[in-house]
Amino acid sequence: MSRLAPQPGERIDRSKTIRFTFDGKPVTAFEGDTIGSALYAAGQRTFSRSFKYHRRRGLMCVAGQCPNCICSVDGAPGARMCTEPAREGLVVEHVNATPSLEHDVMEITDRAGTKFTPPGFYYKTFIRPRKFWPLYEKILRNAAGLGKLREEQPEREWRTEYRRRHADVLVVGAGLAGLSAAIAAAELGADVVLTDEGPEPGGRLLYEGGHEQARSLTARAREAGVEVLCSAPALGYFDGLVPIWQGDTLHQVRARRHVLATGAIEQPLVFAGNDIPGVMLSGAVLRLASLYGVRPGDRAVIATTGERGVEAALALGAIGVEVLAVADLRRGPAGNDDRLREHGIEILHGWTVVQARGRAAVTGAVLEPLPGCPGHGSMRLELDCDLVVMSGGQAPATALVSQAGGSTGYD
Amino acid sequence: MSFLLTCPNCGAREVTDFGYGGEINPRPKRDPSFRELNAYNYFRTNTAGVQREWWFHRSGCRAWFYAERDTTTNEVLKTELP
Repeated sequence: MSRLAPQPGERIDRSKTIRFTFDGKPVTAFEGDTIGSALYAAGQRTFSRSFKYHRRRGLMCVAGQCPNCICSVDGAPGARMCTEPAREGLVVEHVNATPSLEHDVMEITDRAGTKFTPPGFYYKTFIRPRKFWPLYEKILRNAAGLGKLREEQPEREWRTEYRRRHADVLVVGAGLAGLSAAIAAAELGADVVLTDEGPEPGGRLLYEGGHEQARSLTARAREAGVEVLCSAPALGYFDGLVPIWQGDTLHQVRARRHVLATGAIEQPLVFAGNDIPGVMLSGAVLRLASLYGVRPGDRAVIATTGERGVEAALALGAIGVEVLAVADLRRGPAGNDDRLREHGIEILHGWTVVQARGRAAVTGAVLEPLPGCPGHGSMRLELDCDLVVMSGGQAPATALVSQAGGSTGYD
Repeated sequence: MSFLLTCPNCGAREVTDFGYGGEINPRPKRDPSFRELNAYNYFRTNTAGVQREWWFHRSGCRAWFYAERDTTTNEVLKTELP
């Protein structure tokens, strides 16, 4: 188990343990864990296999935004381990790997010569000679797809409750902005519904040291009469009607005003091997450490384009992860350089990670200066690490506003 | 399509609570000719704009009522009992 000492504001309750199985092996988790955090704490690094070349996929975003940790839960495929809560007695199984996650025969498509499987080859390559197609088809049909449905579906035990809710204001996204908007509207006397896809309101505050602020804001919102819905993603916007899915309930919310505070999605960086297990987004390591008390790694290299990676470096240093270097794409000195140096972390301006090494998990990273920066072409740093943290900036989560027909702009 | 209708008995409800009864056209007088009956049964003006129409509060008080609705924007201007 690679659990840290209890973290302030962590989501797990260490006094209550839960047992579930992953591919038949028992896994112990704490109340509040997700399947992904419990498995990561238990040492699992490969969570699924990629769709075509069956390359290993590890936890990357820990936010439900990427398909790296897709699995099957109690026979139902398509769950994401990083957001699916761990519950007693769950049967979790991997998808898209035969016979096992660690030994996948289809991995040969990634290893075999480049002539046989060039990047982007199509399974249609196998159509000739025509008379063998039925044979190919049988194999290829089995190779495709993520997960298997049960042959027999169990009797449908659950049913959907429909609930209609009329409100003055609907706020989607309960981060700092959404909470503040909901409180402001409610304190002016409006009837407000606040919804968030996460299990508790607070968004980034929860894992960036603002959990107390998040909880006091939530309490204030509840006091002001805001209806707070958690684990409740908004599904779309249809002529003013917003369906919100929460467990077995579909809230059909019609509000007179909508505030979409959906936040941002952290972007990865592009370098060779950026899909190897152990290459993670900065938000992912922060969530693992702060919410679930899981040590993301022992020796980390950080590649960033801005302050988020620097903050992650400081946070990792604070929990005892050895941060070998921070490669910052920004060329000049930035605000937190001194703080990094105080903690003995080396910051390399104008450098970036050009390659992550390793097969089953990250074993090292190669760093180089950018073109036009001192040392380009002559300097190169190879570091042994088991964690590469990347932060490629933030893209606003505009799916809902776009679907509603709105447009966005910077101000 | 999704909007609110105000039932004269029950108040504002989702449109999915209601059944649409078509536009209001004047009933033919006593002993209509076949031509008049045909027009009453089958001809619609299909207005693009404000039209008067029948609605039925299917999952509520089950009353039939009139509504004035803009067919291009789905804005309901008025509802009343006949």
